[in-house]
Amino acid sequence: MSVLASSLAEVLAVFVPIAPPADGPAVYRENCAACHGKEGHGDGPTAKELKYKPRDFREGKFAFGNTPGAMAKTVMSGIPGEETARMPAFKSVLEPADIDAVVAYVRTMMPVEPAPTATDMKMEPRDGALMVRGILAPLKEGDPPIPRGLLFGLPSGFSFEYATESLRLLAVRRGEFVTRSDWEERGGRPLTPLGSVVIAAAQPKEWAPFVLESGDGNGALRFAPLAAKLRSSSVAHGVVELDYDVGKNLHVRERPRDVVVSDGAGIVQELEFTPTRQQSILFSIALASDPSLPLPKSGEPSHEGALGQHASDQLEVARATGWYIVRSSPTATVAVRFDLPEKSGASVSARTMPEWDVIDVSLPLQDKPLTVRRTIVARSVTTIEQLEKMTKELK
Amino acid sequence: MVARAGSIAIAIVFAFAVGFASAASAQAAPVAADESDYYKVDFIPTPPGSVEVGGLDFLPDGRLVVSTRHGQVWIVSNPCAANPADAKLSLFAEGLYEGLGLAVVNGEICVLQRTELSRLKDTDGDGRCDTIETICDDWGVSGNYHEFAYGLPHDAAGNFYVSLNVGFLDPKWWHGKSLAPYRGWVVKVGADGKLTPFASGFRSPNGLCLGPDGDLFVTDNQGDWMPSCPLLHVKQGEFYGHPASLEWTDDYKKIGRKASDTEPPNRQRRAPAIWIPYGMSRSAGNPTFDPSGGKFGPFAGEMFIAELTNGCVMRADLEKVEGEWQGSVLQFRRGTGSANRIAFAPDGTLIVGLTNRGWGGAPPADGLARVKWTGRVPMEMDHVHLEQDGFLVSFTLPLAADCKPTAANVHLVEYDYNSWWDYGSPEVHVTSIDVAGVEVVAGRRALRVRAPTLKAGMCARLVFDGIVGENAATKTRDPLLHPQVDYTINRMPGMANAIPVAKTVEPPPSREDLEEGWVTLFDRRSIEGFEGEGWRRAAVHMDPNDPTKLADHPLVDDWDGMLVNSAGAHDTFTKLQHGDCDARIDFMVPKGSNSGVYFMGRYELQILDSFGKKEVDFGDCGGIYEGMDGDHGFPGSAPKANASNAPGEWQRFDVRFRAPRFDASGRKVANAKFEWVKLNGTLIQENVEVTRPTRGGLDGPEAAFGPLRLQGDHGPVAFKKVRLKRLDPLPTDAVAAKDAVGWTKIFDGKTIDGWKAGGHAKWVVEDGAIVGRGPAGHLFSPRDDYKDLEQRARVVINDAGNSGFYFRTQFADGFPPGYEAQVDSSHPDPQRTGSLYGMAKVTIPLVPPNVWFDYRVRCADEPAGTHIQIWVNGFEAVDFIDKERTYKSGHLALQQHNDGSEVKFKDIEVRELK
Repeated sequence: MSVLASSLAEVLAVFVPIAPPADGPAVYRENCAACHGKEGHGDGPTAKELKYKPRDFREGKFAFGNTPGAMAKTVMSGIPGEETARMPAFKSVLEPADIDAVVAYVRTMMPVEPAPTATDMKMEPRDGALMVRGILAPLKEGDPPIPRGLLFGLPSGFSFEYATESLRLLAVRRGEFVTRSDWEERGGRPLTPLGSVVIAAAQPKEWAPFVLESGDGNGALRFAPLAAKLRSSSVAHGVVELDYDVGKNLHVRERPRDVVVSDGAGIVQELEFTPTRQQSILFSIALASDPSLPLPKSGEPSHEGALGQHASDQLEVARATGWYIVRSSPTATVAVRFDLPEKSGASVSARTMPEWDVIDVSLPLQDKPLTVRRTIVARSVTTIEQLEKMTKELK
Repeated sequence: MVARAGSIAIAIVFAFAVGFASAASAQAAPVAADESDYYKVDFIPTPPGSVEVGGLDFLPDGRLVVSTRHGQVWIVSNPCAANPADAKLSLFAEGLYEGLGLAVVNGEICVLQRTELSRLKDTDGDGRCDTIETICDDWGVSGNYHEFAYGLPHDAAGNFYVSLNVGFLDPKWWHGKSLAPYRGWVVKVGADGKLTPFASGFRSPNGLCLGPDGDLFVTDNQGDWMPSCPLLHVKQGEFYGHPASLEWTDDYKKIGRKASDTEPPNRQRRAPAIWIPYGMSRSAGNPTFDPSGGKFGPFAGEMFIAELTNGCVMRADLEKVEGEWQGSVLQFRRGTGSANRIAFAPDGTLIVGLTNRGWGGAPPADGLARVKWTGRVPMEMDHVHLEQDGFLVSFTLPLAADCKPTAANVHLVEYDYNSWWDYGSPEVHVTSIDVAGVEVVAGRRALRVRAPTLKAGMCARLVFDGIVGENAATKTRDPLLHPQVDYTINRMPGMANAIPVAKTVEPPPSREDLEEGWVTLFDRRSIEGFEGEGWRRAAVHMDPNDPTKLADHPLVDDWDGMLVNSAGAHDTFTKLQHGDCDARIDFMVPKGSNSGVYFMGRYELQILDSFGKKEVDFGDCGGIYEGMDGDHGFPGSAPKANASNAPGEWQRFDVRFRAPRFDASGRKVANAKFEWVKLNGTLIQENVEVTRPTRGGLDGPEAAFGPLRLQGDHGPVAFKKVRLKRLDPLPTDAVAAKDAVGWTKIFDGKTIDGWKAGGHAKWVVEDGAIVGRGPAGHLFSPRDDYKDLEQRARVVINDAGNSGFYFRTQFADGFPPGYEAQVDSSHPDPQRTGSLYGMAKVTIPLVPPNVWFDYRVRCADEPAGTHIQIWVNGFEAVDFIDKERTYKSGHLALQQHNDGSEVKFKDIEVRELK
């Protein structure tokens, strides 16, 4: 009995009221007390006439949600009823600040439950890599959220963001890892990645990371996006690994890791393609870019005069250095390179769109595994010589 | 009507509760007994605020595995230790996207995340999960906050069952929405990861379990279309009541059909096995069966159900009646905290996983509780078996020798529910049931309660009083611990078809229905507002076998009719005439069909199945049709956009229409004009002047008034509500100035001094209105010499109320002589508001009860007789000549017709005619 009593006491000890904000009580008295009672016992003068009894806030029972957000929503929109509302809507009566204040005040009447602190909600990869799933807010305002987000955090301070429904790399960040803001309210809130974005992949609808290439019988090529399906994600032994199927006949094992060079940083993705039948696919990435910005040229600073056709310039730079360059802002550059097995028959090409550059690898897949390494580095590259230096550093 | 039924129901419950309390207090309880004497509750210490339990199961070695809404998985060693502090938690996994279901399958931990079903592995053996295998992620997640996924029962074949919450938007969060595939469904995930949509019609189906014979049971949560929390026996392919999920059925997908927020879907609903009354459950968690074989007390094999809001565990007793599960629910153990998940440990301890955040629930709000049997058998109802004429109730202990129950010890009521869009339903039609007799049977282990009037389609609530059991082992006398049981009678023994307890009823009036100023020309009950051959009141939908036709389905009640044309029908016309008006018209056409709405009988707004057409012209839906005389006529006006819904879907015209204007000589000075037309909310016409009647318009010259006309001879069409609102005159209209002058207020909004009451009605002034209540009576104006006059007032009548606005009447205590403009929206007397009582009848309710309307009367002696006109909200309802000149002069008077009526009059004004 004593054990039971002490554990209950522990539980009950945390139900301590918090101090009300300044104007909450006044808003309450004017708008709520008539039904809910002066002290929130559900016993106001009009309560007895109501078919549905007002809440006694001491019980802490709120069928429409007991978080501050849910309670504010109830105050704003009311509770519908068969003929008249069970609780009127206060949206047009109260200012948002009044609603927040009255919610805060009502919360002092209910049993207060322990809420996780900001520190509790933070994840820090100290001993090894961590993975976290949750909704991700879009990197670019106006884009849809990513409900199936997957984040990897590394002890080095790098983190990688993926969308699992397409196995797209969304971003590389550097800094602290993530706050699990989905612990707030009822759930369903986006995670809050804490690092600053080093590399942002664009999310154009037209772009798919894996596309099937096939002939149309008349010598032209046809392209069909391939669905990717996650099979497993792992951080065993500190190694981040994603296993997924692409279409029906291809299995991919992807191992992303961070990379640091003297004046840049980013990600190396090692991808092992295991086809079960012969096929040709495009493996692509789209990076946000501003095509009006110039690409680097040998020996001269890049900001001196724009070059002509962006995509063909891309290829020119790539021929010289092996790097494709995406100018994302006047000061930042993203350099992408592919290390392909010899005689793989693979070819790389670049496409330029108004807001992003797409870099495709065409991979003719035989029936044996093939490994591709894609390096994406953000840095302030200015000349061809500097690109060549980076290549050496990476080796 | 609904509110009346509801409040009567509640009154009966209160009366009954009071009666029961007094009966109970008259009889001394033999021993004090408390739930804790039989079942102890304690709590395993957990990190505060952290362990918000969403899933529970056990590893083969007896350790407990707990998944939480924080996306963590904890392993609890010694979960059933005598001292709860000896149970130790260690974190196995984190960073999952919630975990509202967990199952240990072949020793491996499977967790249901919001976005996927996963298998968690510790491949490097450090005691922490490092690899997550995705078993299935083939259901949709739109990003809405409420798209929870619940689980996770699994069967011997390796199938998992998962339920998917609908989304809740803002501000109308009470209408659940299926924003991505299979929201509102229970899905089955095979051992190979393949997803099969299993059953539909769920709202917030938080708890699932498989029964010993593989039956799947799911709890849902009260809200829209869920009058109370149900326990559902879920079968493949069946529909359980919430319409949002239907959007992923083949027949909805085929035509891109959207589920209605407010209309009951035309689809067979499968009745829940048990409705859990609101008093017992407001947020149900999962059910589970007691597999302990007696280690948990006398309920081996029975079902228990978690409950969050009331913080308790309930018990359900199921039986098969004609092959289908139904049964009863009882309280079991309170004080557990917000019980979301329950699971039995191998030693018979019931582990209770708690969470509350945002869902509402009794404290504690998180953590793990344990319910253990003390070894003492409580006196409880064990099984409640429905018989043809009552119940056979068995008990866990024999009745004490001196316990001799009679019918007076059993209180029995029945009730049912409304199935509608509103959030939950009160218990309605609550009625006491006579108990014909009580018999002690089965060696004092059972009572047979005879109640021959019990019927299917109702829940029966039995409350015992004064029942005491005798425990030979403990030598105690134990009073019945939980005296109430609620049994859901879908079927009586021998009945093949279930009668659902939740009845489809008229949807509660929308805000739009309660807007003032409108008249309803078709209210779904009566088509008498229209005149035209070949029209009928029926309930129809697009024929699935021949989508060019409409097929009938049974009318549910008197409120759900549609105005439908039959083959060979002509056009139909409103009896009322209109001029300037706003119109709201709900219509539906099957594939390829054609109809139209002629304003004033002359200017046609086209109805056509134009769904999906890229280019639209005046002949398409929402077009204003071309004129009838070729090049010289009106050229027609194409809609600005194609806003058509699919054929078979309901559509809405919102229109502002202006009648043509004429000068004193009758010459037209302004054309008829559609100021705007919206189709399904999209503006498709704006300021279109119609220079001449459109093709097929009424013969004869254009006029200031005309009937609304629905085309019935071009193809099948159905209409729901047809409503008009008269517009204020334009400032340029001569009538506006003329109408404003000459009125005299005869009630100042404050006092009825000088008025004279006859009969027994109670007349008072409230908020500037004269209010009549109580028995019949009349209130007469101070003056008694009115002759030719106009009189007007703002009036409101309650549901089922009856009143009248009299003129040329004489004082009397009984019903006085005089003309009466009737006030009646839903009284049993079928003469409705707008009628000149006994002389000219209006049989449709032009205005709903409880909504203020403008009432106006004109009465003048003319050569042909006494000419009487009555307007409701500006529409002339009656134009009548009393050739007999029955009443010559007198008072103006207000009627209070009968007790139960409540009428209010304000702004009462008179203009005498010279």
